[in-house]
This record gives sequence, structure tokens and C-alpha cells, in this order.
Amino acid sequence: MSEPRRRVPFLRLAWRNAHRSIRRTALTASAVMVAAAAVVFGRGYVRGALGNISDTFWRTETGHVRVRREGFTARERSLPAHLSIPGGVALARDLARLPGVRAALPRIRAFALVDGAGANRGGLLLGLDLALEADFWRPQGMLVAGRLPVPGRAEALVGEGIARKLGVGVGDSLTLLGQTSFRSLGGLRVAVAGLARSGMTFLDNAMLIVPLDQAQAMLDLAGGATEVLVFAADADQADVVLARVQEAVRGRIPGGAEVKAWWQQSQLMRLLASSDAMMAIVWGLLLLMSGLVVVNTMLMAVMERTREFGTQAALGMRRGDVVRLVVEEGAVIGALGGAVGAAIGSAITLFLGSTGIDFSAYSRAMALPFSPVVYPAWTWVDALGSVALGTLAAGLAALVPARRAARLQPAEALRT
Amino acid sequence: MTVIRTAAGVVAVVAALSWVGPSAAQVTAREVLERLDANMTIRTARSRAELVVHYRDGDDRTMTFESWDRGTDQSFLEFTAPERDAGSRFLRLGDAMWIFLPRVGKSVRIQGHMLRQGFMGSDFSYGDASENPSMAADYDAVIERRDTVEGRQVMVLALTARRPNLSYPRRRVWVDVERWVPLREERFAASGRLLKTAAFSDVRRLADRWYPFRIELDDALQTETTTTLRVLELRLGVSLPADIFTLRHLEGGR
Amino acid sequence: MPTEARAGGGGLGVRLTLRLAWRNLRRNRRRTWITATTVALAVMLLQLEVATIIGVERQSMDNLIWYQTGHAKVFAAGYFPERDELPLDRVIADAAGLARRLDAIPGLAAAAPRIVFAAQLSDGRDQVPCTGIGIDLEGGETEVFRIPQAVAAGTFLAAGQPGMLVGSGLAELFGVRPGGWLTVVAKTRHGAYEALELPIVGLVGTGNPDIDRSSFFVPLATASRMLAMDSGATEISIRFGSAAGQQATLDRVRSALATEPGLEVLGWRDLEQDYLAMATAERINNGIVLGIFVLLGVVGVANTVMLAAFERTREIGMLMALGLRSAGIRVIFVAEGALLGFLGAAVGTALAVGVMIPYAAYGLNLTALYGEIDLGYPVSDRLYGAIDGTALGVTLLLTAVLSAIASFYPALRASRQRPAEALRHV
Repeated sequence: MSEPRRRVPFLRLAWRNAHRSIRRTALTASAVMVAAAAVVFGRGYVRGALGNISDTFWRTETGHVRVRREGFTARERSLPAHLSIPGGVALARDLARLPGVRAALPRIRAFALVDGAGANRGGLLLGLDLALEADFWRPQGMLVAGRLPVPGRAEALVGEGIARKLGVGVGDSLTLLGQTSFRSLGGLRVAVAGLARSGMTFLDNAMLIVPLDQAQAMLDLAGGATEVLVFAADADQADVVLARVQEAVRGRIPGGAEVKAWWQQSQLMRLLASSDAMMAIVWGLLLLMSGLVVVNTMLMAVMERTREFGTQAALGMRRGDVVRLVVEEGAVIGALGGAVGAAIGSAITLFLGSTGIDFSAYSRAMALPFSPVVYPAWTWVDALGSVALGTLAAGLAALVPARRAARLQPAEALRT
Repeated sequence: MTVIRTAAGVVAVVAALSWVGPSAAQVTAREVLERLDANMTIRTARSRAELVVHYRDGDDRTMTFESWDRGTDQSFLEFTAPERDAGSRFLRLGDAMWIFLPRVGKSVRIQGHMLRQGFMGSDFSYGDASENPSMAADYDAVIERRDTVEGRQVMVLALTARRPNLSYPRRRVWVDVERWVPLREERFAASGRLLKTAAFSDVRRLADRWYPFRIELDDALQTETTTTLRVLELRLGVSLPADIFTLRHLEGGR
Repeated sequence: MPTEARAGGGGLGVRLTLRLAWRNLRRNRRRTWITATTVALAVMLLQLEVATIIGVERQSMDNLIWYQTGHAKVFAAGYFPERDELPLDRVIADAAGLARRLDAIPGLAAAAPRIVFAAQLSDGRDQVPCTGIGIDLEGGETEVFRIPQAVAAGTFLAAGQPGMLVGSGLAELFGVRPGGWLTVVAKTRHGAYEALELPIVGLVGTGNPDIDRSSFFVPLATASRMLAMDSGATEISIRFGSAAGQQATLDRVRSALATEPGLEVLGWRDLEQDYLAMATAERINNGIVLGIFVLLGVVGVANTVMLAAFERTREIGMLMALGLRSAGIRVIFVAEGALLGFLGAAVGTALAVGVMIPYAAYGLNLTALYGEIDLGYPVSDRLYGAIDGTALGVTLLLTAVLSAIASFYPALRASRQRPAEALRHV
């Protein structure tokens, strides 16, 4: 007669076993929990830190796609205003309406001779639409003294470094001289409304941010801009947006347009932003370490129960079943611990992701564009991944000692 | 403004001499220089001129200005056209120079790196504009050769600076020895490398002297621009109010 | 049960505690071994990460010192605040003589006079403002700075031959290569224009845009003649002989200069204050990632001690019944945890050092990670680890201490049991 098919309710048994020794379960689960939380937060932090660099660069230098007049970039050393985009403001408004575009910002970049109290210095004039730039250049985040300039008023936000070198502070006046779009001499007298620290040395030692209309007046660029930065709603769709912008810009800029995506503008940034390699290393290391912790705990927990397995074997339970039971028990604990840990890690990541981790007290200067605040970035992949990790690691870790224990003769096991 | 030489007191003497052609053998380089200086320098002057900058990419930019000059040391200049440049003013006192733009409302002293920039984007720099040496006093001269340029008798002089702080340690001047005007000038670095060239033409009689009414300037180190200065009106010996050459006047007060 | 526990009072001496802890660890070899391995691996990874971070830090500091600042610079009084203007009127007279005198100071490896000046480069079509640097080919320049190693194309300057090295960014702007010519225009010390046409013998790529995009190098003699500097220089850069005693050497230089009126010396930290701020921020950034690793490693120890405490409940009961007080129990467990942590950390550190030796010598090839890098200058494509004794020791001790701390809670729980209950435990 064939044996009736046995149906061992493994999962239920596993669950019950786990509950038998809450302490031991809690202990193992806690190890998985810490590991899972660490993985979720660790990945989120590194992603946030790397994203910080690309993000800062996009916002201040390249946008996702940048539109300039043909020839301007070739002469970027002198930032010639006569190679600007007449009607740049209107162009920006039209580009902002393209599908997939989050915003299009007109900007003026020009060299200006800055005369403070007698001494003069070269500076970088930045004409920004301060209302639009609140989410992009974010001048309010750079403010260290005074306030932002008001559109329509002859006011400037001055980089800390250049303000120091000129010997001016909030409330003082500066005279700016520069070459207009007609190649004549233009000037502007501004009051220093505030001082700024961007965290980037090259900017803090040179920048003077004025409202766009002021820069337009000074350089005879009514309605114009030297560049338009286009931001896609989704950074990964930048190539699609690039094509649309190229099409939309056709024929609108005298002398031709130069439309470049961010990766076409700087090799260095492309290098840094190819964080795949970095992330893979961090992921691997965290996985390794966490796996080790879980394995460690699981091994010990299981090995302590050799006698118990011996008993089960003596009572007729098949070896394979014992192993399977133990492994599933491990997996259950791992899943529990992983879920709790992932939840905790996610909570921390999301919280810090909204408040940000502020390094500004320590970073007076950076050579790379790196905003002093890091926002850890949470993804559900990280969270689910660490739950899976916990389950897998705990289950696998239970395997070895479980098999060893199951292989023992019941008598030996009982003697342990 | 650069090329309008101004000096005090020599005008009357030179006026008589200017009719006399040189006796080929006797005249020395120094004398040539002195006569050149004397002809080209003025006691006071009032003029209107047109400055054109020609760009490599084909554009031209034309500006008009009025100028008041006293001696070699004092100049006041105000641009009158086009609209966007109108009201831009420059004041030179000795070798110090100030600029005033109406939109700015305050004068700025031109110093340091800005001195190297082209004056209003032209081929001669603010530094060139603020340095106005007297050829005879500041340079030693040697006659290189005699020549004929467009039918005029010319002496080519090679000049070497007498003091080390002159911007252009060496120059070469083609002097029209009948009218005592330069027809061409080249300026060199100490090594002899050509830095600037000036070509003078449209020479007209003006009371007791001759004056070039057209000057073409070129910076030999770049082909981005060439510059033409056309004198539209020139009156010498005018009386100028004393307070023209002041910062207050520069900034709009009187 | 160890008989030593009978010593009354409930407290044990340090040596005794440690021996006890060690013996307990050896009693359950498997558990000790497993946990120690976990900690060892964690610490090994940690040490390697620290070695990498220190290696990167040192490399960037090295670059700063080898290409920009040297260890210190001597200036004429009043030059440093005006250095952006590149003035030629505040000059060190008889620079070569001073350099020789500085060379003789013990602790100093070399002194290199330089003339740094504002200039324009022209190819006849375009004119670009940049910075000229006259370097002393016969003096200490190549011992203080590593410009020869930064030559990206062509060759380095040769003494006695006119020529120039152009920053790679500048060369790209003009579209010139070694063999081409450029005109250098500058004003002499007195204010007269001088212009020299020089052949380009090589291109320089240091990774520093200030040099690569805005500077060119000429022989000191060329710059000196061109600018009528006589025997003067705008700065003398100094390299110290050894890593140790640099402050002492700097002080010696300062006192040597005290007899020369109108000269001052600045250490590299004063010359590049922005750099230090950046380094600090980097460290904090890395600290967070490292902290996560330390946490994970230490959790393994805590768990082990916790399990040990559970398993040995009966034993604890017996110890308490025999007179060992709670404090004694706690101490034993904490000691076990600390010892376990130390053991694992020691093994891990030893393993790490084994990996670090080739790492520090040969480095890690970055192109495998990032692919071909073409930034226009020779960027180091190898990442070198740094074997820093202090970092190794600190990490080791930190792990042991953290393990002890992590063991405290389990030890506390263990000591809180009541002897009667504990004895009843199976």
C-alpha cells in the first residue's frame, strides 16, 4: 500500500516554532532588523550624496538641456553679450510649454568689472529671474546675510568671497561695468542687498546675482538672455526633451542655436554622475556585511537547538523536513526582521530626506558643485530589497547548521 | 583723443618753421621730432570726431564724440551718438582716467586690468589713451631712411624710449617733412615685436598747421577688430572754462 | 565552574576577569569562531574603506603641495594680500641667493624661486589674458614642484633654451600643439610693454583648471629678462625634507628670515585655506557611511553576547548562588564581549593589512570601473590606499570598545536574573 501523502504544515509550524522562544526569535530578528535598516538608509544616503552633485550642477550650470546662441560657448572665456539670445525670455516661455518640460529658465551670464571702494575686480554677473529660480538656482538657500534682491530694483546678491575682497557689506554700493550686446560699454550701480555662500569657491569669489531685468538693462538685452536652461520633469527623460527642444528652437535664434544636454557639456560631471559603479560597490559591501551579521546570528540560534532537532528526528520527522522547517523558520524570522528594519530604515531615510542633512557648518568651500545639504533618497526598491535580503540571508544561514543537525543520529543529538 | 598731441608754448615758433622745408643734410632726427611734436601738440582744442570699430565678423560700430583738450594732460570727452552710448564721458588728468556712464551715475577710476581693455572696444587701450608722451622729450631718435609715401617726402625715424616706464619702448614714425604730420606710426615692445599700428590720412590745413583728420588703428596681436577715427570738426586755440576738467563736471555738475 | 569565582565579595580583578572571559570564549569555540569571523570581516572592510579614504585625501593634498603651493612660500611683505593683482613691485631681491641660503637650513629639501606675472597670449588672431610662471630650471624647481610629471604632450622645458609650456586648456583654445608658437605680451616691472614669441615645447595638464586653462610656464631667466626683474622673484617655494618636524623647520625658516627685512613666509595651510574646509567636509561625509559599517559589525557582537547570556542562564544562576554579585556577572559578560570584539577586530585588521600592502603599492585601477577617462589631462587612473598606523589602531580599539558597550545591555539582562529562577532554567 502506498503511503498517504503527508502534508506537513511547514509554514504554520515554522511560525509556531518562532514563537516558542520569543527571546531567541527577537534576537535573530533584531540582527536582521538592524541590517535591513542599515541597507535602506545606507543606499538612500549614498544615492542622496551622489545625486546632490549632479543635482547642484544641473541647477547652477547645465540644466538638463541648455540652449545658447551658436558661438557663445566657443568664446565662453569672455561671455560675449553680443552673442546672446534676443527674445530669450519669450523663447523660455515657449519651451516651458513643451511636453515633459518642468521649467525653462532664461539667464544672463556676463563678465563685469566691479568697482567697490576704489579697487576694481573682475566678477561674474548673473541675471536671474528670481521668482522662477526659487526652485532651481535657489538663491534663498545661499543667503548668509541681508536679503535677496527685489526684481526691478538695482540690487545684487554678492558672493561672500568677492564681497570680502572688495571690502563691501550689505548696504554698500557697487558699480558694474560690462560689454553690452552692441559691444559698447554698459554699466549699473547696485546696492548690495545680501551676501551669498553657494559652497562653491569659484562662485563665491566671483558671483553677483542681479534681477534679470537689471542685467538686461545694463547689457542692452531687452527681453533677451545669454542662455536658457530647460529642466525635464523626469531627469531620465532628458534625451527625449533634448530632441523636442532642438526642434522647437529651430530658426528662432539668429546665427543658429547650440542645444546641448547636460552630459554633452562636461565630461567631468558625466564621470561623477555615472554613479552606477559607486552604487554597486556600496550595495555589495552593505549586502555582504548585513548578510554576515544575519548569518552569524542565525547560525548560533540554530546550532543551539541541535538537541531539539535530534528529538524531532527521534519522533519520526524526516531529515529533509527538519531542514526545511528550520530554513523556513529562519526565513520567517528574516522576513519579519527585514520588514521591521526596512520600515525603520525607510522612516529615517524619508525623514532626513525631507529635512536634509546639513553640512554647511563644516563646508565653507568645495571644489566640486556640492550643495551643503544632503537629502537621502528613498526608493521602494531599496526597501523591498532589504526585506528580501533578510529573508534570504536568514533562510540560507539556517540551512547549514540545520542540515548538520538533521544528519546526526537521534541518539547523538539527544546527548548534546 | 590719443593722437591729438597737446603741449604748451611752442606753437608760435613752430608756425613759422612749418613753412620751411628741411635741408636734407642738416636736419637731425631730434629736430624732426621736435617739429613733429610742435605741430601735433596744441594748447587747447575742441573737436568732434567719429570712432568706428570694424569687427572680424563683418559688423561695424560707429560712435560720435566731442572732446575738449588742454595741453597734453587734460582731456574731457563725451559721446553723443548713438543713443545707447550718448552721455558716456571720460576725464583724463595726467595719467589718471575716469569714466562716467549716465546709467551708473557715479564715476569709476579706470585702473589695473581695465587699462588693457580697448577704449570703447577699439584697438587702442585705456592705457594708451591715458599715456601721452611727448616724443621729443621721451624718446631718442635715429633717422632710418628717407622715403616717399603717396607723393610726399617722408623721414622714417626709429625711436627708443628714454625712460623705462614708457609703455612702448620703441616706435617707428613716418614723418611727412613738409607738413610735419606723422603718416604712419608703429609701436613696438622692447624686443621689437610689433604691437600697434596707426595710419594717418586726410591731412588738412588748420590755421598755422596741418592735421590728419583720419586715423586707422590696429592692434597687431589680434584680428578681432580694427578702428578708424575720423575728425569731423576741430577748432584750436579756443578758450575753455576752467572747471571742465573736474570730476564734478564728469558726473554732471557744473 | 571556575573555582576562582569563590573569591568572595562578588568582584574579580581585571586580570582574573579577562582570563575568565577568555576561558568562557574558548569553551564554546564554534560560537566564538563564528562571531569573531563576522567581526573580522566587518573590520577588514572598514579598515580598507578607511585606507581608501585616507589614500584619496593624501593624494589630493599631495596634488596641492606638488603642483600649487609647495610646503611653504616666501613673499616680499605686502605681496600676499595683493597676489590676485600679480604685482611686480613687491619683489624678493636676489632670489637665487636667498634660495641658496634657505636650502642650507636643516629640514629643508629645496627652495625654488618663481616669477608669477600677468600676461596676454596671442596667436596673432586672438589675445587672451593669462598668468605666466617663470620657473628656475637650474635650481630647486623640479624638487619642489612636479610640473615635469604633468606634461601631457611634448617635453618639459630645457635650461638655456627659449620655450614655453602651455596649459592644456589654453592650448585647446588657440588650437596649438607642441611645435607651434605663441606670443607672450606683458608689462615689465617699470611698465613698458615687452613681447616674446616663444615655441611651445609641451602642454601641461595638472587637473587644476587655474593652471590648465589660464597659465603657461617659461624659464625663470626668460621671465626675468623679459620683465626686467634683475635678480628678483615674486615668490620662493619651499619643500621640506621629511614629513616629521615640518613645523620646526618652518619656524627655522621664519627666524632665518627675521634678519631679512620685508620678507614673510606662509605655510601651505595658510596659502590654501579653502582646501582645508573642503577636506573637513569630505571627512564628515565619509564618516556617515563608515558609521553604518561599524554599527553592523558591532551588532554581531551584541547578538552573540545576548545568545550567550540566554544559553548560560543556569550557569549564571549557579555563579550567583555561589556569591558572585550582579556587578561581577555584568563584568564577565562585558569582558567577553570586549574580548570577542577585540579578537575579531585584530584578525580583521591583520587581514586588512595583508590586502593593504599591495593596495598601497600598486593601487586599484579605476578605468575598470569608469571606463576610459578623457578629461584632457593626465588624471591619475589608480586609486592608492594608505597604510596609516594611527587609523588602524584607532579602528581596532574603537571596535573593541563599541563591542564592550554593545555587550552592556545583554550583560545587564543576564545579571538581572534571580538565582532561583536561573537555576530552574533548562
